[in-house]
Amino acid sequence: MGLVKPSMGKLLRFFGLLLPPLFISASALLSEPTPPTEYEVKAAYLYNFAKFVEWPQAVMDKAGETFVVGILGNDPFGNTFHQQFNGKVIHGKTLVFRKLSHLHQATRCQIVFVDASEDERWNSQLSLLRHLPVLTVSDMDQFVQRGGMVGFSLEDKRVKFDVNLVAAKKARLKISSQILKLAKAVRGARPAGDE
Amino acid sequence: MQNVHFRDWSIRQKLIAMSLLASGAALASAATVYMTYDYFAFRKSLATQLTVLADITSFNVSSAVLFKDAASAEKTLAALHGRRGLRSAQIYNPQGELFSRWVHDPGFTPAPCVPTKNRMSSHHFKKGSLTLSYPMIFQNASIGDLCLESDLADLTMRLRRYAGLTVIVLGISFGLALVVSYQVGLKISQPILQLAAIAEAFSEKKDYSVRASAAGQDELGHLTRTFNLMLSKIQNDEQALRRARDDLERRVEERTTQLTAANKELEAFSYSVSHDLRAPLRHIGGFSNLLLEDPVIKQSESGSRYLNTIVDSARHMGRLIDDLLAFSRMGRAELMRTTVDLNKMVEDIQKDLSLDLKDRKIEWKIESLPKVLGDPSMLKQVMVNLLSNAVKYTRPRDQAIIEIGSLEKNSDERVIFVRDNGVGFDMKYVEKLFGVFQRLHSAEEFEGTGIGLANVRRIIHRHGGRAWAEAKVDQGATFYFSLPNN
Repeated sequence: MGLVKPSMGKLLRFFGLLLPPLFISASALLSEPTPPTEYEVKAAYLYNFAKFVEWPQAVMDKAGETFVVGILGNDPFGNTFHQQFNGKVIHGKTLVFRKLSHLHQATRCQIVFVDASEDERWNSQLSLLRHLPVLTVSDMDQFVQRGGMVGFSLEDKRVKFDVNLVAAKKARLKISSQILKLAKAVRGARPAGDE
Repeated sequence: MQNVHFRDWSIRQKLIAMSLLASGAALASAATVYMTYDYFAFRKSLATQLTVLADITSFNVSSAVLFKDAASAEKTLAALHGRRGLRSAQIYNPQGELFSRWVHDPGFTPAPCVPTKNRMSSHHFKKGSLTLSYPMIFQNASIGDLCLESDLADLTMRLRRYAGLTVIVLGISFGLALVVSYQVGLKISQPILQLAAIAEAFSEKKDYSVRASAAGQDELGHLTRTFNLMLSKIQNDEQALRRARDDLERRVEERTTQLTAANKELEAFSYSVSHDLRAPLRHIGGFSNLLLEDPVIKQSESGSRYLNTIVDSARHMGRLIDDLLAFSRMGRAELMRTTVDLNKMVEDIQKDLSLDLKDRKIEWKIESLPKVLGDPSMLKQVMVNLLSNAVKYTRPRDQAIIEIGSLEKNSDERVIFVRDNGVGFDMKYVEKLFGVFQRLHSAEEFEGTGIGLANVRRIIHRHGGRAWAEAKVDQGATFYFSLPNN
């Protein structure tokens, strides 16, 4: 009997879209001999969030060939994100990492990381971002309580995150239950489903 | 246990054995083929089931793997707990290091996983277990291997159930085969036994009327009908034979009666003829003698010679008539049965003959003869005839030898013989010898009436014995007669 193919779909994807860079970076992520730094982990989380979140089809069609991860405020990642994830393909688009100099630039992003330094300006930023189909991620305190979607926190030096489903739903984003079960806390989660 | 050959079994036993063997073999081969097929099919389905399970688990655990959340991964794996037969689940990262592990029984240490190659899953059956290595792929990226290990209790139980079912079905079909073949065996062996019984009645009790009852249209029916046909034919033949025999017996009886009557008539006739011939013959003899005394005749030489010839002829004819009378009387005379001493008898006869034998040289060799049962006067006639014949036909011999003895041929009869070294005779005339008036020699050579041996044979026949002779020309003759012992 020997080898059994996992499933027809997976096999097709395997033959059609074999992407060595992605494979290498994923293995690099998991095989770091020295423990990764906090922002290396957060960068990987950002990348993985992109995989488990669905954007509305219309938005994705309009967005063109790029999948933009923008950063508001200071860039805590340094070269990490550029080196490891720039140019990878997410949902059929090329991943681009971009530092935002102006809030308006967020309209062309799919994910916006708000640096903790923007804490003061967040409430005003939210008034714009809450209507955009943009996944907002930050490591500022009480981020999800203050209308953000995914908020990082540290626990025993491990990176954890909370999810605000209400905010995501308003922005017409679908966050996979796979993410939700890893989250420390989920706002607006109903027992039955992941919407 | 006695070793009984298969061919000595009864047909019913053979049928039963055959049907049991056939049904057993058919069932066993069917069960073997089916179980073998099912064994592999079930193994395949087990592997498929495990693969499906791995696919689901892999999907459920992918985020935990991607986010390196081992605790969450373990929680997901622990959901496999309710899965029957599953022993362990392990997740390896792409570097082949164990990331997360779940075991059904806390003490169980699962075997290290066989790494997947080229993103293809593979499964391995080892004794009592099935292990599956499954590549975890998330959005086209390989994120590690999932290994599941399952026991084969279901497979074993399934095979055991099949074996049990096979035994039960085997038992039922054996029972049915036993009942059916027993019944069929009766149907086959009963007609055969019936045929055997009929054949026995037929051959031993001579009951020709029995018939086997009609059977079906099969070989046995054919045999039975043929057998009955044969019986009818034999019965008919037997009846025809009996009728023919009865007819024959009746005809023999008729002929015997006719013959006896004719014989009696003939004897009466010959007696009266002989008797009536004597009176005129006496006259011829008497008056011829008177004529011889006549002086006229005495002077005629030829006349007296003629008369002498007439007298001799009349005397000879008288003797012939006497013998004939004696011979015909022999047929009617009552037969006496007493013990006769043949030695004494021979002595007496020798004495009687001695007067005529003064100028003869005869050597008598007389053995001790047995005492026999018979009519003394008749047996004396036999001996007189045989001895006087011996003396008569040895006349040309200078030294005559006459032997008298007995042979014990068998216990039923005694054989007496009289042997001489006389002129003998040609054996081709031997049967003529014992006829009335049958003579092999001319009267000029050896006198006699030709009735002596006919008388001998007749007397011996009346005693229930036989008389015969052996001889060669010029080399003597031997006359035998036999007498039954009782």
